Amino acid sequence: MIKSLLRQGEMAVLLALVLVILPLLLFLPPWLPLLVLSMLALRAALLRRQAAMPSLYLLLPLLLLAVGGLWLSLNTLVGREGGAALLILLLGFKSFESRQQRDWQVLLALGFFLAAMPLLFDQSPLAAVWLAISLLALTWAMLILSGEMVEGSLRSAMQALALSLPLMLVLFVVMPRLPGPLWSMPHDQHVASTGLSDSMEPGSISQLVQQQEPAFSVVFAGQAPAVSEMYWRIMIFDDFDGRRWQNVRGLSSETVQWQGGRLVSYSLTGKPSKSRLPLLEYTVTAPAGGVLEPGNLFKLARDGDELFRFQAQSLLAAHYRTVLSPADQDFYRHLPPGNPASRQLAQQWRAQGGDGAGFVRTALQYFHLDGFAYTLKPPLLNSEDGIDEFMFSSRQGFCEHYASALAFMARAAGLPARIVTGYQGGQFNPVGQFWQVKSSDAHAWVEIWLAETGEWLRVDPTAAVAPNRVAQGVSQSIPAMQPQLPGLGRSVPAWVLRVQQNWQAAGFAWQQWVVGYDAGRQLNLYRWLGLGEQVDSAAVLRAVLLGGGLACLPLLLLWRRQHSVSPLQQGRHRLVQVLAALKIVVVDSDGPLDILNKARRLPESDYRQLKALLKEYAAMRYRQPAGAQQVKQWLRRVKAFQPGRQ
Amino acid sequence: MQSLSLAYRQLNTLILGKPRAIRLALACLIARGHLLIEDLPGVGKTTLAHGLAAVLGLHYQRVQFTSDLLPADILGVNIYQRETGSFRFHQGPVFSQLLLADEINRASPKVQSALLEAMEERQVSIDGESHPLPTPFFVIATQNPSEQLGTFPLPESQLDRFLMRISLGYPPPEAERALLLGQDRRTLLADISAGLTAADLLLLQNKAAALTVTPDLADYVLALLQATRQERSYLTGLSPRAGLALLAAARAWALLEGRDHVLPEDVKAVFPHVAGHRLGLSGDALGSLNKLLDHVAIP
Amino acid sequence: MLPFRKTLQRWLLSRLPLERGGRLGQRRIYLLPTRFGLLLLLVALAVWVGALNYAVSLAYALAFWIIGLMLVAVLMAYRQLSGLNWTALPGEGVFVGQSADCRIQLDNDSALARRLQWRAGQGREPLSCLLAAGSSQTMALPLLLAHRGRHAYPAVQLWSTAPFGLMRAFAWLRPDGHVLAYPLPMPDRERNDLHSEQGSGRQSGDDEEDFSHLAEYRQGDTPRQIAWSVLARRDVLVSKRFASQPRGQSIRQLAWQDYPAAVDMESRLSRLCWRVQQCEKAGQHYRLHLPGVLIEPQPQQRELALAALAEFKLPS
Repeated sequence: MIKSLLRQGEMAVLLALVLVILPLLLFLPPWLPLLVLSMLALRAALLRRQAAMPSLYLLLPLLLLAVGGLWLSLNTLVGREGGAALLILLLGFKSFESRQQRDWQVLLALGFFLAAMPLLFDQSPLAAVWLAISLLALTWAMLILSGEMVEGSLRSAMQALALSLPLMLVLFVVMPRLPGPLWSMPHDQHVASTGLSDSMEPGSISQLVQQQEPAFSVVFAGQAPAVSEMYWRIMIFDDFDGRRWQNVRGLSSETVQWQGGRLVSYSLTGKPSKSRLPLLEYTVTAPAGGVLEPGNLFKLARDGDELFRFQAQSLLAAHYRTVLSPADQDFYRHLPPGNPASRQLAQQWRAQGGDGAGFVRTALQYFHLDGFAYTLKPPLLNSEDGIDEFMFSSRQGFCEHYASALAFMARAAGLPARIVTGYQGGQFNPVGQFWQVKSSDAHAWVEIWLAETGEWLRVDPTAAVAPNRVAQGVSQSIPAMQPQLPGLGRSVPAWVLRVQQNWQAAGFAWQQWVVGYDAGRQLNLYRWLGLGEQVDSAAVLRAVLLGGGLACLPLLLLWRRQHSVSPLQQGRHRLVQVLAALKIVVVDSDGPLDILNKARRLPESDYRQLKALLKEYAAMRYRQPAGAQQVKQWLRRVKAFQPGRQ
Repeated sequence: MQSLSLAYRQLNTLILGKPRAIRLALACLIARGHLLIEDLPGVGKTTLAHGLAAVLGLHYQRVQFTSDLLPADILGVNIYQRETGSFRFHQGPVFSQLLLADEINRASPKVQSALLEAMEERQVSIDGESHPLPTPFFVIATQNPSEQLGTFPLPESQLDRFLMRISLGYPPPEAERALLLGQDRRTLLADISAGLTAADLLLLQNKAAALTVTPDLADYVLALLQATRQERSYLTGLSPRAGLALLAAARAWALLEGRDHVLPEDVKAVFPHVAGHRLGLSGDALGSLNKLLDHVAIP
Repeated sequence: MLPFRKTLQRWLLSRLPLERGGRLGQRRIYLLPTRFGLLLLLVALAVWVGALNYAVSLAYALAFWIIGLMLVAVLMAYRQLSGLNWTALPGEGVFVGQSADCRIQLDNDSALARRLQWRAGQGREPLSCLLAAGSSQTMALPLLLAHRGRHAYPAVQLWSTAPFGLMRAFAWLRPDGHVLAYPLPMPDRERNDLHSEQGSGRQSGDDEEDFSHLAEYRQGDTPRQIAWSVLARRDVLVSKRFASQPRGQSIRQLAWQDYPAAVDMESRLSRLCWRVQQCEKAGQHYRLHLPGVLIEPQPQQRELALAALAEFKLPS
């Protein structure tokens, strides 16, 4: 039944298109792929019944209607979402307009183009697997459409794809990559980025921590720093409205003097969020492809959320000295009204401690000793004076609560302060020899400017409350978190850990070599292969010739295999060669007895051997077709037959 | 098998120096085929036919074909009997187990086709009444290739009725010498005892028909047929029926060789004799068939 | 495009020798992408540009995979034709106005099924044939014969777009063969009366045969040969033997000279053609006599006679 249906090439094309469109359900407003899928199904039904197509006068208004709906839900018809959406819509309508084979071929070609669409949204290994499935379906549909038999067509399609795979790999590696885009594209605004949010309020980070997604990965050149030293900066919040921290100022420039510190080289691969990537504290020079913004933040030169890799050097535990003008100092001391109790306590601390450093010591001691607890699920703070409530009554919170409270206290005590968000720590993957930082490592801490030394001092109040958080990671520090994070914190079996690590390593390799294979990496490869110092036409030509030759080997093998002969003929051929060496000429029209007749002058023992071999040959071919095993044994004996040697 | 080799030996003493022709003739009969001997007078055609009949224990008749022979002279006639007042069928010479049709190309086409029809159908129909021929029933026909004048060459469609065409040719000198010194062949004929019964022959025929032919061998036969169809010097190629005949002859040959399966060599042995007359080649032109055999690879 | 294509074809054909058959190899097989193939290449290009712009690595993979597939398609299309054996079979003659089959046999001795299409000349519908592994097939190209004589086989284009329809491998064949257009038979009853004409054979009847001797009766001797008088007298069955040549059948003469000089060549030939057919139908022996040509009774006489009529030209 299914077979007879698929005998029609058109059905195969529709099926392949369905497979290609399916993943777009994840990335486009679902109504649209569903609409197109149902259109394809309807087309298949019409095809099966051989029914008449709906008229063009009906289709055109429908198409306009659908495009209108698209505009309403996406607000765009270009860019990767708009483009993909429009394309599948057109494809759906084109299927109703397809009658001749040529139309179906156009549809199939569109399908190949469409297979690239999900890749714009996702380049995970799963997407690659789906790409392979789509290609297989399309190739198979192509075979059926051009009139191949259904039987064995899937196998042929697989074979063709397998044969073209090496060619694809070679081209993938050697074809030049551009360092930047050809044209800039409209950015899709509403796509939720998985990174840190633009503002910080209670709950914003703890939500993130519950996810286990890899955020970025790092390879250190040489000795890696201690986990407690890994602070990955992404954003700075400098304005507090009583509840939420935001970045309003955005310093235009900053003069920094770095003092001390240990130099560490690392390379980091990650997906930028709003053009931002994390930097290890403190990275002193801007990595290629972006700029250092004031506050020691990294901003990419280009838009987009494609995977980015950079190399950088950072001074671990350096002193971050900079001059703040009085106006800046005021800005960093600004607070909204409210939270009187906290203000009072802050001023009290300031009075006790004297200078800024003293204040910090007092504050940390307070958090450390006065019954504060580190928890992922703190009670909700509802009152107007949220800081007061946290400091004096609930005393339970996550890093954002502590950072927020400390920054408030510092400002209330007259010290310039701001909040830094980013990640802290990371897990080393021994399989892939890299550090994996996940979203559960998201963190927030405070920087307080000390007037005495002119230095932004990093103060991490969470470390005072839960030292384990900084030293070992989040899962070690929150007992209450364990039920929500399966596989984390609990002592997992060794094999689970190994599987996890292998999986992460594979993911890392994928990111490094497939998704992140760019112009720079290509250049490195060219150098390593000795093809040239730059990716120019001569080097590419060399690489194509070299790799293309290798990639064509399977094709050649296939070609030869088609000409191969059966073992029986192989054995006969071998006998003929052996006899030819003894000047006994056997031609193709000689049967076994003819051969024996011609070989009459062989020595007695050889002749008898030959006779036995030929007799068996004749029996296997003309008496009772033999099994593979028997033929193999015979062939072995033929190979052992060495006439003329005593 | 014993009796078969005995028959073979006896025939060889009768006709000297022609073992291959004898073997082919035997194979032809075992394959239930009719035999056409194309040769000059006096080389022993008649003796061979006679000898075959004797060793196989068959009832034998000879008809000399001439131009004024009528079909009834071969097939028989209904003769009115005064005593009973009815017609009685008077059997012609065709009602024998082995009919030697001497110089068949001298008879008119009418007679030729009457005989050939009887050969094909193995029965005779006269005045709407069918008379089955005895079994086994063989025809050994001879014709003289050198005489052309006043002869009626057998049409190709009828040549097809003969499974094989052989020629005896002059005996080799040694054999001829023995012939000259030896006894008269006709007296020798009287000494031949029937080594086989008709039942034995039937058994052999059935046995031959049951010999194994593998697909590989069929491929070879196919290749040969194809080659004759592609060869331009032949007017037409061999028909599928010729292919079946070739296979039947090869089976009989293989049986004579004492094998239970057919080898390409068996096909090659009979091929020129099965194909020659079907391709319209004269008896001397068999060289081209041998060349063809040399050129067709065994698949 | 069209004039260029025609010129190209003419150039290709002029380079080809006339052949009775052959095996297609790399020197004879040409490869071009089909429209669909070009479209898919365009798609690959578009995907590649998109990959370049959006820096999507996997899209590069897709673009290059399509390119790789095209290369595989080239090879596979080539393999559809490569090693194919063809032979021009002799064509069977027909009468003027009928269509004859130009027959070309294709032999596929490989282990690969071939899906082929072929066409002779421009503007004809392509015909397709499926050649299973190790099989042979005869392509019959109908050719309308409008005038008498020998008509050479047209050049044949053989191609395959299998298995993907992306690439078209094609080869031109110039088969060395011909079909004959026999003259259109024109009834000529006047000269067809079986009794109006005597052959060179002997008259029927026994009287002209000379009695030679009596001999012992042999089975098969006809009743007429039996010497009834001897039987009656001595009760011995003996046969008469005659010393005559065996009687031949009368042979009909079909000659160019049967017609008055005023009858032109074509109508002479047409009439002779009709008479040849009549003789063949009746099983009558005949002899065809044209200026410079004599066709005696022999096997395949019909074909020979008709061929002689088809190809006849007055000796100058």
